[in-house]
Amino acid sequence: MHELEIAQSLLRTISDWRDQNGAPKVLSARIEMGLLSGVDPDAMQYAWEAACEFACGGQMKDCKLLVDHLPLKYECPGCGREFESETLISACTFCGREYPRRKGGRELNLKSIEVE
Amino acid sequence: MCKDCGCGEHHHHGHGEGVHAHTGADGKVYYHSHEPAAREVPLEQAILAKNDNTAELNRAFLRGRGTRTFNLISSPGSGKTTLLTKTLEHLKAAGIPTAVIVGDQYGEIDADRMRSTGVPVTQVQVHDSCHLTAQQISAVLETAVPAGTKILFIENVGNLVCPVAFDLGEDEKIALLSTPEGEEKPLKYPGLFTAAKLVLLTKMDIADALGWNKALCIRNIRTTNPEAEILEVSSKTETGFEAWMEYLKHSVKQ
Repeated sequence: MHELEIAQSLLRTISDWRDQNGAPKVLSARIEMGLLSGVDPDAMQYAWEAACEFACGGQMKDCKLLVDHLPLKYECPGCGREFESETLISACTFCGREYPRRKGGRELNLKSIEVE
Repeated sequence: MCKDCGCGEHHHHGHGEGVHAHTGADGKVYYHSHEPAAREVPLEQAILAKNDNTAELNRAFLRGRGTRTFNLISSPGSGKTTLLTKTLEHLKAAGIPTAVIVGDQYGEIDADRMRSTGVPVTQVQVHDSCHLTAQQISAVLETAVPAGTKILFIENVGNLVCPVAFDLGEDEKIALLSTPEGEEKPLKYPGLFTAAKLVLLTKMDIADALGWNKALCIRNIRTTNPEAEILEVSSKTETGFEAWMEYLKHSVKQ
């Protein structure tokens, strides 16, 4: 359950930004998550709500967490094709060659916030 | 004057009232809203940037000392402490100065087991957390790693998921997978196995009794990480220790 720590880290970044930018109301935060980031989406939403409840003197309550799930990207050394997959695969979708090269998958980034 | 309806009145209303009506000078009813427009602010950055930055400082410190650092991650009970205790004895015999930082929620049980080898062992208690952080490593680094240390093992909290997201400043992650855990963990918990440079298959001495399927297990590791090195060891019988020691000695030379 490290999602709470991730939520708190996210909240600190947003809170610091608010402090330096006139403390506007933050309506939502958009993050992107790779399939291999090791973060459970449901636990993350739960942790986010818990972390926001009393943060910034109640100003972060109801701030929505919008999550973009990034697919895995593969490049096949056999046929040279690049493609995306929602699951880990052991063979190229196109030519069947074993173990195409995976790129990324561990992304865990804050993209943007929506403020009033 | 109200710019929407031109009613000529200076009227007061707070934000958040939503849509409301005015009667204009022409007698028509106009609707408008004082809801403020939302704007999007790009803040592109890693969520764990603070941990990542501290990890980079740790890495710079350790590399500056000429220390190669391994972050050992696995489920509880897969044999990290037993493997390390045996490994420390071998490294000591080989004259390679080694240090250990071990994370657990409470107590010094693991540290005491490894201290019997005479190697400096620092226990970090993480309390209710399920993993070590770069900050916790940074706090003990200078005392935990004496000058001249060639290898630092960080034994993470026994957990297959959470420690993976937190870079500690290691050179590489090593995943342990014990034969009693079965063959499918790499597919069920791909985060660790995709991040590990080496997968150590532990408790090989009981593999046959368990009916453990080696080919299937290796195939599942390969699916998550085609490039991972895989070594089979038994800390009890020391089977496979030669290759494991070679791996460590080779990485120190790099």
